[in-house]
Amino acid sequence: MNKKAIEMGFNVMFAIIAGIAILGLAIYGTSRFIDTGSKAVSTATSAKIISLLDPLETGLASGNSEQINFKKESRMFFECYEDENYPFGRQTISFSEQTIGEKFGERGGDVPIYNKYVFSRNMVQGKQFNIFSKEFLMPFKVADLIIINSEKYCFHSATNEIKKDVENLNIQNIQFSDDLQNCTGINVCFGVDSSECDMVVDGCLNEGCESGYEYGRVSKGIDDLYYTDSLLYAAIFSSQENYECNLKRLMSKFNELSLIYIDKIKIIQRKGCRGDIEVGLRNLMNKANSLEGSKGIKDLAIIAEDIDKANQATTSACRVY
Amino acid sequence: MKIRKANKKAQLKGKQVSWHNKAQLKIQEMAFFLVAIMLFFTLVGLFVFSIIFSNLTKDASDIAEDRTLSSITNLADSPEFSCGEPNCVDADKIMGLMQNNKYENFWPFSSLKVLRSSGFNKNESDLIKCTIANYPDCELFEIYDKNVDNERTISNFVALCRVEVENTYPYSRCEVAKLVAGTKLKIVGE
Repeated sequence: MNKKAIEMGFNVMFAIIAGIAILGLAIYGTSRFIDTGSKAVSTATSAKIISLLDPLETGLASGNSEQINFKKESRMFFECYEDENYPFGRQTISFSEQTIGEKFGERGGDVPIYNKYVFSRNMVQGKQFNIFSKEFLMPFKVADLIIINSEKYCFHSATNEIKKDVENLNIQNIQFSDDLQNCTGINVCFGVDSSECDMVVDGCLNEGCESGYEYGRVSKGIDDLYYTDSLLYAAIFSSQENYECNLKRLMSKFNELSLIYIDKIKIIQRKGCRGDIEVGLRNLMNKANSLEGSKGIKDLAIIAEDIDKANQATTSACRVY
Repeated sequence: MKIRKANKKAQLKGKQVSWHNKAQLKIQEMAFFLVAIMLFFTLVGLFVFSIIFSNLTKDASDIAEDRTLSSITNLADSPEFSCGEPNCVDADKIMGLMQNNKYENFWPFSSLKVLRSSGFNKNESDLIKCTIANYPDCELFEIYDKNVDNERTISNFVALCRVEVENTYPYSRCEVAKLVAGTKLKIVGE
């Protein structure tokens, strides 16, 4: 018999096995508990971010801006579904922040957004998030475009009108430069195509439009996004997926608003108002309904301009909007 | 000698039996102890979870109320309501909005109403609801009401304007009104 062997009674062996099992369960339970807790916090943060977007509704102003700062590096994830929540579609936002080291915590639950149009990349990361809003008119106000970004942008060869627009909104992360060498961050070139440009904005100068960028195209490598009016900013700061989906949501909102305006036209006609924008509005509704992608947005803008002229021609009390 | 050997064998067997019984008892004790510990920690865990989740429900209600409050201050200036002036609601547009039940899933409210000043001091059952037939001789524009339990309402004073006609001349007539929005409060266990 080997006398040097350690003698281990049944009790000791049982205690070791049971101890390992209990400790294992406790560690697993604690880690699950921490994960659930961080997921709950991230989900609550997403819901609070949506509330923070409410003051960005422009009302009668043309734009608004704010910054959201986090203590830790954070990520916001946006998804857009134009076919859900008929007819308005919906977006979702979820949030996660850095925990230990470079590792990000578990992504919180998706919080739905029904009444906002958030234009951004699919994932925005940073400690400081720049948010601004611009109203979208077609020809009446359809909604506020809320644009979220966290990176530095450099607008090269932008027109004075665009400079004024950005300066009025007090957007801190957009730099203007006429020399690409002085640019840092993402280079957005207006009317200039160079290998240093991350995206190129083409306007309508050749077609004789007033400011040069009332409608046109934003080219991002293989993606081309077509814009009119304030959709220019949405096209610059968002992914193609997000832009096209939100554009469809905007068209659905336009259709519902048009129905409200058509009902209003009937009511004010009984009061002696004579205006004829109903035909034009129905025509624009049909076009908006059949809009496949952003490429057709310019045609809609032309019809909207005619409707606006007809509306402005009536007396102020009889204007539909 | 044979009897002694037999006695010794019997004694050894007896010792083995009692050792066996003691070991079984100890295993049983240990098993009961472990079950008790597990039960204790499970109960503590459940207690902690119930406290945390009751806070979560409260947080969810608070966030929903915050959203209602922050949304209602901007609602009058939204395209569906705005008359073109700040904090001014277009009554003619509301009549159109009332025909459209799709907006129930657009705003974060459980109910949305506009109350004209003539109805401020009346019970809800006494108010004359607006329809195409009786407009503008009515008091309550019910845009939608999901009829939820545990609803808290928040209201905001607005100007309510509509097109009127005098001597064949159309003009905009305004009065004070209240924009009333409801939030469903979440209750633990619902």
